Amino acid sequence: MTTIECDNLSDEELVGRVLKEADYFKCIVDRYEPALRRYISRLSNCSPDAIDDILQNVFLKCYLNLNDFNVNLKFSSWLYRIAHNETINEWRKHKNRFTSFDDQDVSGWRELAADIDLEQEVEQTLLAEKVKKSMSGLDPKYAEILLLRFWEGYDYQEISDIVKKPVGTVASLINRAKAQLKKEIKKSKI
Amino acid sequence: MNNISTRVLAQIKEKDLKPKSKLVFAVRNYLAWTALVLVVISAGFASGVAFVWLSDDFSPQRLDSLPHIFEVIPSFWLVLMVLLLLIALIEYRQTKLGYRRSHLISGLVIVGTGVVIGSIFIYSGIIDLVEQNMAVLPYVREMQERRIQQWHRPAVGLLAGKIINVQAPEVFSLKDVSGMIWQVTVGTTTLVWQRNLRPERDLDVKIIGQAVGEGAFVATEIRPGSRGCANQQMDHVPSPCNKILH
Repeated sequence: MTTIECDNLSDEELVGRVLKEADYFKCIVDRYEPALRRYISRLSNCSPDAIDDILQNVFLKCYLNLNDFNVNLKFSSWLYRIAHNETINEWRKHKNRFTSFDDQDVSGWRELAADIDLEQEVEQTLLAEKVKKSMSGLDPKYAEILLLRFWEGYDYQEISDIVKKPVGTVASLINRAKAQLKKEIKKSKI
Repeated sequence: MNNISTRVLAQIKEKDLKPKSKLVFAVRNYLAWTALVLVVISAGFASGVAFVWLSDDFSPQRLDSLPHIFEVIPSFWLVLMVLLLLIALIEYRQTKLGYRRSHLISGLVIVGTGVVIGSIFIYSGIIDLVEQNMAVLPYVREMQERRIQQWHRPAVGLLAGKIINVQAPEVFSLKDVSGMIWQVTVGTTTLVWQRNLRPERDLDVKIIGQAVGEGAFVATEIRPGSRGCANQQMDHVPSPCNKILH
């Protein structure tokens, strides 16, 4: 395969190129694989091999359905929606423990801890650890919504497009998730 | 080369995979919207029939005991309407951007559209026409007969039947559904001839009023006998309605 230059192309431009030449799809895979791997890993608690399989299915579905990509959405939201659906399907098939937050990326923990205003209750050094442990006790739908908001950095509209729920529902889910997380943290007394 | 991209591209080339055609998605989208429109139109029709039945058949006299409350509720049409509205809501949520609206807004838009369509059905006379033609179906005819039978309760002030003779604008003879002949006097103050009804021979009517003696009835309100069958010269026009009262 010839070397393809695609760093300067937007997602939407890349989609257009892929529809003409399949090799450009490599750019989309390379661009999104690390983020999607992290997202699926946190969401599903699957083994690395299983995550590879899910990723492969996600990208194949993305490729086959490229003509269904709605230009009213961001490409990344659309791709994350496919990943979200594939991961949930996988979870239903194998009944894995939903959500796993055993990674070392503390930025999400810090941001979430700051957002739910925990500084006064916990020492700063324990903050991330405290939130991380409590996340595992959360209802999966809450954990996923926090994951999209604080680790993936999506705004409410993008989250709405990924999980296919109205923006208002997303906002109230985030609020309820934060309230439940606070309760979990207080309960655990780490 | 990255492992995943290698695997994905290898599969694409090996199986000669191509993105599905735009046409496939366009047809799927078109079918989804067509199904949604059809379901909403059907829900509108069901709501129109339910409304017509409720407004035509409702009278305070019929609410004198609890069982009669259930008699006046067109449960089949109401259940059908609710079911179709729910299906429409689910279908709408499945459309491409349907999820962006809240359940409340989506529900209100769908119910509102159903009501508007139902009103169009009512005021255009389509419900009358469809009901009339549907009377050939045994189930529909049975329902229409039951509706009229429910009005055959002279003791509580309800009377249904066919005008057989108009003696004067305010006096006519009526043959009720059991075959008994009544002399009906039209009241002077509270009478309403609904929907521009005029006393004429062979007209099917439902009357609210009071039995004032053997075979004598004073009417305070007169309504069409049954939608779709009202205003027809029943003995002369071949129609499924003819069979209802005969």
